[in-house]
Amino acid sequence: MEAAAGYFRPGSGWLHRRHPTTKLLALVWLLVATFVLPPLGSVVLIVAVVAGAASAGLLAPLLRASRVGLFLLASILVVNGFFYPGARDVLFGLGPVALTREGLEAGLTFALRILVALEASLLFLFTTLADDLLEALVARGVNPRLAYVMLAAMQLVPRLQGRAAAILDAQQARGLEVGGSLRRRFGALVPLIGPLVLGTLIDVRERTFALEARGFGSGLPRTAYRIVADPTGDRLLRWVLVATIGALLFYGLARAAGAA
Amino acid sequence: MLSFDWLHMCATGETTACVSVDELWWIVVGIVFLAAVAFLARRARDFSTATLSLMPAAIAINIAAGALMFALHLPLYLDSIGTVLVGVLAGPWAGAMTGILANFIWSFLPIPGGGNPVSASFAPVAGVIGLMAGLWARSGILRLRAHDERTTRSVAFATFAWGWLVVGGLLRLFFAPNGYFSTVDGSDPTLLGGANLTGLALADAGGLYLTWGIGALGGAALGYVIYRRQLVSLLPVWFAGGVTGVVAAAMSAPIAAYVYGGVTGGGTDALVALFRSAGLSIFQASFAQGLTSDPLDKTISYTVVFIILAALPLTVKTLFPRGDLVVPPTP
Repeated sequence: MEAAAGYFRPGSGWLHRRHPTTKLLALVWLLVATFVLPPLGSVVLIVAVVAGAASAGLLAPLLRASRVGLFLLASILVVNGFFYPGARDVLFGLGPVALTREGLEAGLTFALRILVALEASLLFLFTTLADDLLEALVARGVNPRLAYVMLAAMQLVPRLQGRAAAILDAQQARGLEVGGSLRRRFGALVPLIGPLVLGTLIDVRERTFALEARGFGSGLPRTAYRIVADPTGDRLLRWVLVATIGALLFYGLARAAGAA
Repeated sequence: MLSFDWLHMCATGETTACVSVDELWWIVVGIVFLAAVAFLARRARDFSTATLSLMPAAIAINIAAGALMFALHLPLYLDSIGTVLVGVLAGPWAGAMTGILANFIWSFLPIPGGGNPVSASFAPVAGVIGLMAGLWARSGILRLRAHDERTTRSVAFATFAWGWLVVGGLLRLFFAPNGYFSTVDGSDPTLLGGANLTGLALADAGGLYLTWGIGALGGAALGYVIYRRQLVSLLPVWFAGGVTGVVAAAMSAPIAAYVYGGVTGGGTDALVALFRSAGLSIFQASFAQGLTSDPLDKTISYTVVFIILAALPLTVKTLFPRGDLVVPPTP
């Protein structure tokens, strides 16, 4: 199954060998840390994440995939840099708007935090197979029905893209014109999106019958098909991560209260 | 050096380190959201197999349409079509669960709009949208009805009358110097952020007659379209979409303003920048952007769902627990 792999990059580096819940906790840790620590801390975190990717041999795919966040980062810098309310320290004027020091500093802080979250979640997706993650979560007591919904949704997104391409080919073979004026391109959307959405929803009926036939709704305890390795080091690491998340949250609250 | 001196509520005018009311509010909101998610996860055990296999498809439709809008930099989201669909077909709790999960999963995928926590932080809004869709559907607004000539004519006339009345009369009733909202004139900076609404009253008699004329013409034109194209069954759908949009705007404005400074990376950023350069604060600009985008966005989403429901085979619709609410009543 090609689509089932999703965004996972097969490999055997040290990041691949960690237990999925450990990596999930580390991701939460990074998100908490970047919003709690001062901006300089975010720089350290980015360097750490990129170094982690490089040591696992995933630097090139990480940088290539990072471009989905470029527009957001640029947007944060421009809007804050030029339209920060109450900013007085003008760096240079540009017609009716001006780049201000306060705005640029606020924008850079926001952008750094978003960058940490982006790189960390990409690295998590690259090194964790979705099946392993959900098997691990179900073993920890997560509702298997919810786990199914999440896994199926994550696998359906790339499959939907493939299906859209197939429908586009089929409609073009029947003489649909997709290029040309803006009006014509919008007109071409209807024969594309209609079959895509309705086909996906009609498939839901088939999937319901298939799941029912396999005892999905029985509610009986189930056995695991995949066994996910959980080394002792991982268990120790998880305790350390949980303890430091608590400390970080407390530090953040103290810092916010001190600044107020 | 661990000190607990700051761990008390701020007294009025206190300048030393303390916990302010705003911070307490954010913590309370976070805890309420976590409790709601835990409650939903418990409800998920009662969902039928059909509901559980509809939810992934709805989440995928949400993310695919939302990512497309994001990549095109349009000031719309369209990321709640699947949420509304599940809310209508499988009930409010399933709708809320779909919205929350879709926003979280989108955050983790390396596609436009994903790969960052922006989408996940709007999960409470998506949950409420799903909840509202389920409640609207319970009142039967999405039920397909047989066409009735008399209803169409009445609605067309009512549209004309409202166009005449609302635009002219109600504006004056609310915002004139002796109107209900005449205190909102900018003299008190804490009220609605110092907004001045008295200009909406259209003081001179000539302006009033002109607005009445325009309102009557607009109402008549809309009424004619409704009468000719028989859009009566769509009007409640649009009403539900508009109200949902206003609620979504009110909920997402504080998140966009305080967590992201108004910038979320989508096509809506251009609107926020526009409102900010017009002199509004971050919060006001985010709210104004929401009020511009959300009602239109949710109206389009509800219309799309209505069209999907009209096109879906009966055997698919009746598979779901609330499917009987969207098929025409048997005579």
